[in-house]
Amino acid sequence: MKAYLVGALPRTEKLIKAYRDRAKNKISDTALLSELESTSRAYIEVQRRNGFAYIIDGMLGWNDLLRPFASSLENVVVNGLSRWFDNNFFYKAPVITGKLSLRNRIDTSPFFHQFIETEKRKIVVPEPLTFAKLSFNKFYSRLDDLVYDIAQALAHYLRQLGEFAQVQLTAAYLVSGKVSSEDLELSRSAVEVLRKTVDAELMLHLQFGSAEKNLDNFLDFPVDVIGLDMFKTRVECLRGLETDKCIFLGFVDGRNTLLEDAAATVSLMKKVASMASFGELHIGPNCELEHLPHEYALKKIEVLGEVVKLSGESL
Amino acid sequence: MSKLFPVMEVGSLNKAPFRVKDLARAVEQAEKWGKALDVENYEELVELLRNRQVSEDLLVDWACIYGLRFFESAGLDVVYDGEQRRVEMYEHPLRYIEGFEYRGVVRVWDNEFYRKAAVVKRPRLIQPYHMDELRFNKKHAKKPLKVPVTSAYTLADWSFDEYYSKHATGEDLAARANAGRRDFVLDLVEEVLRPVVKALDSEGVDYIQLDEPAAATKPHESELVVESINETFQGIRAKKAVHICYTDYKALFPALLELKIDVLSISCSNADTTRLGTDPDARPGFEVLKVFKEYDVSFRVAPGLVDVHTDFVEPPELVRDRALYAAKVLGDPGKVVACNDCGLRTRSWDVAYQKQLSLVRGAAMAREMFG
Repeated sequence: MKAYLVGALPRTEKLIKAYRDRAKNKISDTALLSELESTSRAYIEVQRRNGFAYIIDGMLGWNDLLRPFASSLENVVVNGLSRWFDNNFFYKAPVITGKLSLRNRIDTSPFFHQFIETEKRKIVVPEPLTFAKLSFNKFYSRLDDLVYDIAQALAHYLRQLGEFAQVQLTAAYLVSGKVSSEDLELSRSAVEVLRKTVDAELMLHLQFGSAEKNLDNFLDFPVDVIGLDMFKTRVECLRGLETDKCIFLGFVDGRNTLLEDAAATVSLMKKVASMASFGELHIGPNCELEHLPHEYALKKIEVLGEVVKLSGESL
Repeated sequence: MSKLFPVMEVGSLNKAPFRVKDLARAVEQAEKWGKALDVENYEELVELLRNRQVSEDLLVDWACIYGLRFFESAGLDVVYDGEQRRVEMYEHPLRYIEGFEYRGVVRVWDNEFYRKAAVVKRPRLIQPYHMDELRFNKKHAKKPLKVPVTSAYTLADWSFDEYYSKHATGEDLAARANAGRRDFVLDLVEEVLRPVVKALDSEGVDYIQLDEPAAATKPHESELVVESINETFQGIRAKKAVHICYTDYKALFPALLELKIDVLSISCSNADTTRLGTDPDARPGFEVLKVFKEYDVSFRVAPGLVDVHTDFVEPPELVRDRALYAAKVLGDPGKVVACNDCGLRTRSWDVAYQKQLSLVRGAAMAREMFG
């Protein structure tokens, strides 16, 4: 059993203030970077202390999931605000104005991966079709050309960022209810491009929607872990599941402050383990914890730590 | 409101420009706007400011009067005070509702955050809110009033749920989350929104507007959105308006067909061009109206003819063309109410006022086209 996070952590009030002070020129870039680094180190430490198998740097300098990658691409600008799926949170949509390629120099300032040991280091990026669907395409006449170019650029991008133990592709679009069978096939073959170049455990994380309808399709994706949002996907739909892949269960709600009971969560995990056959059981939040206040994100991490302890004794 | 293209405001204005710490500036602004808006006895405020004799409460009262005159003197048909008494649309009503506790700040975009509360028990109205505000405005307004109220669904969507999902039964987390959601929204309607709206109605107001910015956040809940609005408005004598801004309106259909209201105001100009013309190429922001026509909605539509997110002041001719195009798409000029995209809070009073003058003139020019 492994526990880990699946996306950005919230900025602390101190860090929010540092960003505001920087915008007003009250503090320097160095001072902001120093605050980012200390907050990131604190989050890394809390994940380590709670026994997480993979650790993220908190993604605190990311304004949204798409931004660092979008900002590293030629012929992409970011524009007005768009809703981040069914949340009261907005991202800036990439506008694609020409053929995509990775810039010669990518901006690595929002990353603090160097503080995480390679064997636990995890990065979260958008799945290529999700990135394409959340963008405004003003150049490509064919969706598949766009998606393959995103996949190629993403592969280069990940290589430049260094070594990781796990690479997560956040694929919320695939469970948004708008996906066609052609979309699924296109997404699968784009992920194949990444599979060939990424030397790390590869995770497809399906958040904000139910994976039930297309579960068999997702199991065909060339990834090692399938992540499910269990606040959208029914436990019962996993009955009889047979796969060699690892299954990640998002049993901790990243969008609500109500704290889960660790013992009840372990009991649900046991239920899934008894009704399905899969490679390994992974657990964590259903989505990024940045939709919670800082204090509650920490509490959710503690709940997961408790689940790790309890399941170590009983699973 | 039988005239074609009647003009309505939507909600908030920036703080009245005399509500500043700099005394000289406060005096200057009170004088400037007092004259410009023809505010009765504005010299009294100027004198009070000059002598530092004005309390915060009195200053806000004056701000409301200036807010009313702002819209009235620009020539709008339905007005309010620019929400000069309110902090913002989420925290303000929560002050009057028991059952919520603030949990901290959460991000909305980039480095913008808001204070988010959790519902921790069944909500209970402490006392109807916006009442003193409405009474004051009724006393001072010269035109029909429209009072805006944050809807139940939006209050629920912008809050955490530590009560309903906890008490929902069953082991499956997905089923529990769904069951809790409906109860949360409908309890807010029954315990809070309906009593507030009833109390406002009993004061005798022309329009009550439910602000529903979260309406299309979860398209699978659009029926719940509509049900909650209809339930809130049950038995109300005032005309019923709903404001839904910056959203994928198509996602709300066909549920919107069940909406029992008089006017729905929506944002269009933010996605439009500033070119003159009544052809589809010039008016992409208004294409969304086709779905309203296709479904033949029973209520009137108030498309935003003015973009509130830019300082560009739309010439009246542009407002006219937007209104005419809206009428063409909806197939009936009587279906169109002239409106802003949203509240003008983000614009200075100077820019906002010019925009309102243009809105009124543009609507009049459109009206003239129909004799």
